[in-house]
Amino acid sequence: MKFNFIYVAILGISCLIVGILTVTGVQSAKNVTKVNNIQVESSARNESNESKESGEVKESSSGAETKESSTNNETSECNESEEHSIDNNVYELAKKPVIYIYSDVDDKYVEVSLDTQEKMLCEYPKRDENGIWKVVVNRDGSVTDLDGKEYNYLFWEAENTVEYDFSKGFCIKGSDSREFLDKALKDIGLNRKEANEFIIYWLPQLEANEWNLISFQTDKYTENYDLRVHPHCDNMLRVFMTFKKVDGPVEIKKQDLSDIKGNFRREGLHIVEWGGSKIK
Amino acid sequence: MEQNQDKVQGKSKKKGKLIVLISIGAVVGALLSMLVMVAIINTLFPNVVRYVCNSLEMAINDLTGVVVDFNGDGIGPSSDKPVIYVYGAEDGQEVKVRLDTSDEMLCEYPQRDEDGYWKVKADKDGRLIIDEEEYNYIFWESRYKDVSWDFSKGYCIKGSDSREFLENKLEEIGLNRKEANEFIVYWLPRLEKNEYNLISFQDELYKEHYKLSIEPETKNTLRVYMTFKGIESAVKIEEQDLSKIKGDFKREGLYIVEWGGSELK
Repeated sequence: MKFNFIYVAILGISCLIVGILTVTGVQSAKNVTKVNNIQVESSARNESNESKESGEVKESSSGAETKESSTNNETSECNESEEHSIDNNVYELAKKPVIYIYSDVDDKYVEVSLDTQEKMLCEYPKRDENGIWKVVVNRDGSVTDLDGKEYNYLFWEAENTVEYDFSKGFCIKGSDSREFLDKALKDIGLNRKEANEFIIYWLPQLEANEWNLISFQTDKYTENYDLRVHPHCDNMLRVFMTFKKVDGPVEIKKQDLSDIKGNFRREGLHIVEWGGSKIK
Repeated sequence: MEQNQDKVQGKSKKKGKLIVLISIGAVVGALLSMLVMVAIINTLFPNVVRYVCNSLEMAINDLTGVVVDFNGDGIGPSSDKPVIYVYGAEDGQEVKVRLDTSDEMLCEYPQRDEDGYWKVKADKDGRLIIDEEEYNYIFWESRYKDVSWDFSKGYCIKGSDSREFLENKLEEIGLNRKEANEFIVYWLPRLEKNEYNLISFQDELYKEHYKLSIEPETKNTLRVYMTFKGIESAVKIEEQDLSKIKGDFKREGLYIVEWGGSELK
């Protein structure tokens, strides 16, 4: 009998080891994919940075230059991934802010600049070397650059290092996101077309979570990404939704969305922007 | 005699137990060494593990219907953001749109009715009214598991050249500027993130897997679906003839335009 006990004990211990190893194995697999994602993202940032520094002229670069830049990317990628594996919670994105510009007259020349310390990841159309979008806008909201190419809106995407305000907001069940957005965006002042585009961008991401803690940002966002318009524009509506995945309903003080709308009116030259960020 | 028999029985019992224990030990040992191997492979070739995890997840999902996610990156690739524009032959034309697929639907906006139809009133300029609410387009998203896309022809494009590439190719395919603009702001950040991309626009495979039926019938349907893989360096690929995708699509009468895509890992 003693003999058997030893075997049972050994068996038990080895089962335990197997269990622990499985858990750590799965966990490390998770970590590896995370680090990988970050590497991809950081290389993207390098690239956008490089292309910004070198300007658009260099875009028609020769094969040799291409090789050079790719090796550059590799080395800096390693450095950055190290940084991020230590502290990867800070890193978020300001995703898909699009800027609609509406004018009270056709063919109005407008300059829009975005002042931010954050790294820009993507922009469409590209700003000029001073970081300014120079466009001609019409009453229907269509935007034309100086080359005559037409755009639906200005689009940009940037990194985000600011910690956002979640003192007030909403805790919404994933499956209720649709009704929530329909109503909240109306309250904020987006028109149906803008709200529709907002919804199809964010709805899949909200519905993917059981519950979400949602808060629309005001000063924290507008100060970090300062939007300036010339000629002066009084009517500017900037909607920026931040959300966190939560496992169940949590209590949060309800946010008053009329604060975001403020005195915004669809009169004269007016600007509407929407975007958001998923906080990990 | 009885004692002897007992002894013999006891011995064979012990032998039997020993064999069982040894075999259990062997299995445990094998498992252990496998785990060690996985750990080593994981650190050296993370992509391999990710690939294996994804195929395992999909296989388990296939066989049992249970959703498992070993490495926390979701199960299988998804068809992202196909949007369907419906342009009526006259303002307020009633059109029924139906999508048939074996995929798991992730999101749709607006939601289809119980018969699986989007019933829309479409204006000539593409504005849609569904259940008295206005929509820019129909949107859906799904996850697929049993499609292997065709990459025999396509393009290999540098991440930073994606902007020009999309502007040129989408025009060639037949998207108008407004549609192309929306396509570009959705996909450009994802393309620019990669050093190079292998890009192929899908035709028959896509249309077969996602069958779109329109009532009243129209032959003017343009379905653009871009699949791409991020790669480290340039590779050679036979250039794709995009006129095949456009076919004889014309912006006449009732016509449908759809765009979407999928990033493959």
